[in-house]
Amino acid sequence: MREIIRTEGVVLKRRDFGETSRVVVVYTYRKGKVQLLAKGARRPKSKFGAALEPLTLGEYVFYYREAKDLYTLSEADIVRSYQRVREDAPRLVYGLACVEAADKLTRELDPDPRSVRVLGGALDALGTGTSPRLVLGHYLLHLASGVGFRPELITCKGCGTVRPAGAVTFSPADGAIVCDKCASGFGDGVVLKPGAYNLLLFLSEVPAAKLSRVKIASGAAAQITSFLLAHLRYHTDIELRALKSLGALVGSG
Amino acid sequence: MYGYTRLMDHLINELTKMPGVGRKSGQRLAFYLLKADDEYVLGLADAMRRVKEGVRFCGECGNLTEGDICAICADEDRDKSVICVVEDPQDVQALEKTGQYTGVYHVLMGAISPLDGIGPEDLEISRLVERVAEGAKEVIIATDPDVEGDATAHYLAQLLRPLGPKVSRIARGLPVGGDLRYADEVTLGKALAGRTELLGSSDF
Ligand SMILES: [Zn+2]
Ligand SMILES: [Zn+2]
Repeated sequence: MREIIRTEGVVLKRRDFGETSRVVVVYTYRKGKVQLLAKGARRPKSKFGAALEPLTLGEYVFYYREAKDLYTLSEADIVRSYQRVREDAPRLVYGLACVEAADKLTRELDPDPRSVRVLGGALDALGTGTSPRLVLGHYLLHLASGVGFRPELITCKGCGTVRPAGAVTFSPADGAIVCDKCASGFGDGVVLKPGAYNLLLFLSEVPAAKLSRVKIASGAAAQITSFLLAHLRYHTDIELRALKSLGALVGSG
Repeated sequence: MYGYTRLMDHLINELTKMPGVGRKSGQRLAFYLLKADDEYVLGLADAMRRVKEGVRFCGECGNLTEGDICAICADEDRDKSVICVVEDPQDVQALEKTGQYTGVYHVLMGAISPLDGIGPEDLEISRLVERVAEGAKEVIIATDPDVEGDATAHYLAQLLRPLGPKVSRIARGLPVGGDLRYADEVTLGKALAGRTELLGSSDF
């Protein structure tokens, strides 16, 4: 019996396949990350329409064909197209950075519905007035936690102080913060000023939908994003190309 | 297991490297060539060789040409102050078929695709900047209606607007996710006529 799967998911990326087809990588609720062969997807009158564009939340129906070593996509419908994200340069760049991070930090066929929901939440937030840089910071924090690299943000690694006052230093090697007094005993780290540290604690506790209420100094969101990128780079080697090649569109890399 | 013959197997292998040609089609084509007239097959081989030797990219716009400059750039009736930016030479063909466009083109040779590691530096952008700086009044961005095309359009708009021209993008209404070159000329003509100006992005 051939298993037919129907599930929602977010399109992470796609590549051309043959003359008119595409292989689409979708992060789905039921199967985790899957590769789907979409026959004829590059023809303008393809039945799949725009449902295969990266940054789309859709419903996908597919089945497995052993000979092809890929799932074959039979239906695709858009649930949300995130048009507002596409039409604005910074939102598009941060949106691409979110799906790129999701793609690089997840394995195929490893279902994790919560992570898919977090990604959908990030795209929802990017479509609102929320600072896109803040959305990326929030997403990276929750993604890192979801894949086993949750940074320890509450307790100083050196002396055990909970929520230390003043600036803290994050040590990527230890995956934890250290307070001002202990900082000298640890190697290089990213210094987080009190504003950025408090924002980070807040981000770790709320869903993306709550971010629109946050008023932030623009430096704090940037500091948090670069701290999280350093953390992820240390543990996973990932480098976000979206930020690198399109950095010019958002002011700084 | 024996193959056909060494020469036939080699031909089949080479044919199978072409886009859309699988093992079976490769065999069918090889047998077709084997049985065809000598004159046709040698003519075909010669046509392929001559394309490789004689066709190059226009020094002005990147379109295909057999001289230094393509027929469109050489045409005195084309308005050199309006530049339409496309991803590939096939897109030039598609837009020419609409019969509505009287400006010139610029072929990028791809689109920005961060997830595939294709950045602005991999495209023919510096030559475009030079051309615009030489005094273009309008730049019409006709990249594909997909995420890569969107990213490229945003990037170019930000880069070119300070140089003075009006920067617009051909209208949506083209099927999102499809290749521009596959769109029919009526749809493409309407998209060209309905282009909208790209203004600065929202603050954040
Ligand atoms: Zn301490
Ligand atoms: Zn030319």
